[in-house]
Amino acid sequence: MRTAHQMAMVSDWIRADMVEATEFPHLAMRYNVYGVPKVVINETVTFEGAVPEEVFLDYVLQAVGSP
Amino acid sequence: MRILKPKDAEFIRRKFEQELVEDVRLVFFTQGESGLTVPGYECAFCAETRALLDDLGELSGKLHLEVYDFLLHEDVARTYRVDKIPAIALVGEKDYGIRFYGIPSGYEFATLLEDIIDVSRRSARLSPTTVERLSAIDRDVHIQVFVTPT
Repeated sequence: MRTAHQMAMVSDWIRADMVEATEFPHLAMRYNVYGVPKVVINETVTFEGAVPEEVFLDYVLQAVGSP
Repeated sequence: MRILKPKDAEFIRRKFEQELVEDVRLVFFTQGESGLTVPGYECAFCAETRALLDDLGELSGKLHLEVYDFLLHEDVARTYRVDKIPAIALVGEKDYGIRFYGIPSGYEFATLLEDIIDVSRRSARLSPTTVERLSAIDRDVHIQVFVTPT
């Protein structure tokens, strides 16, 4: 979670939400949240589990189609 | 203190005293405080989240809690792109896009504290390489991280 919020701080293009899954079950269902943390980027890229900063960054860049 | 135990409150007060630099706005969206609610939509954790923020707000003069009713202040909610409650936006000299939907408890309470410190310092703790690669992004990115209370 920290990584996502810090990326939001650094880039004006990025916004990052913590979503408490049990309080928003419709969203948890929509995004197939079975394990946490589950990360959804731009509705297209998703991954589960805590990952290092570089890996998180790769997912973000993948979501915007950057190399 | 409403939710925080005196011992924890004291720990956080000292931490804030040492680590906060600039002011931080805790912009909170809730419902029901005016008596107005959406029928069939209960905000189970709004009151508890409010109590937690009230507690935090008392621990440092640099924290400024702003409370908006999600229904009455629809325009403000739209400005912050807040679409559900309870919602917290951490705002510094600008809105960074940091949001918490639902009560930040357990591990995410620590996230909230660390985020407040980052915003107060106006700087994130990311590697220079990450910052450099993020600067190439020129279109909207919306990251949602689903968590559960721990």
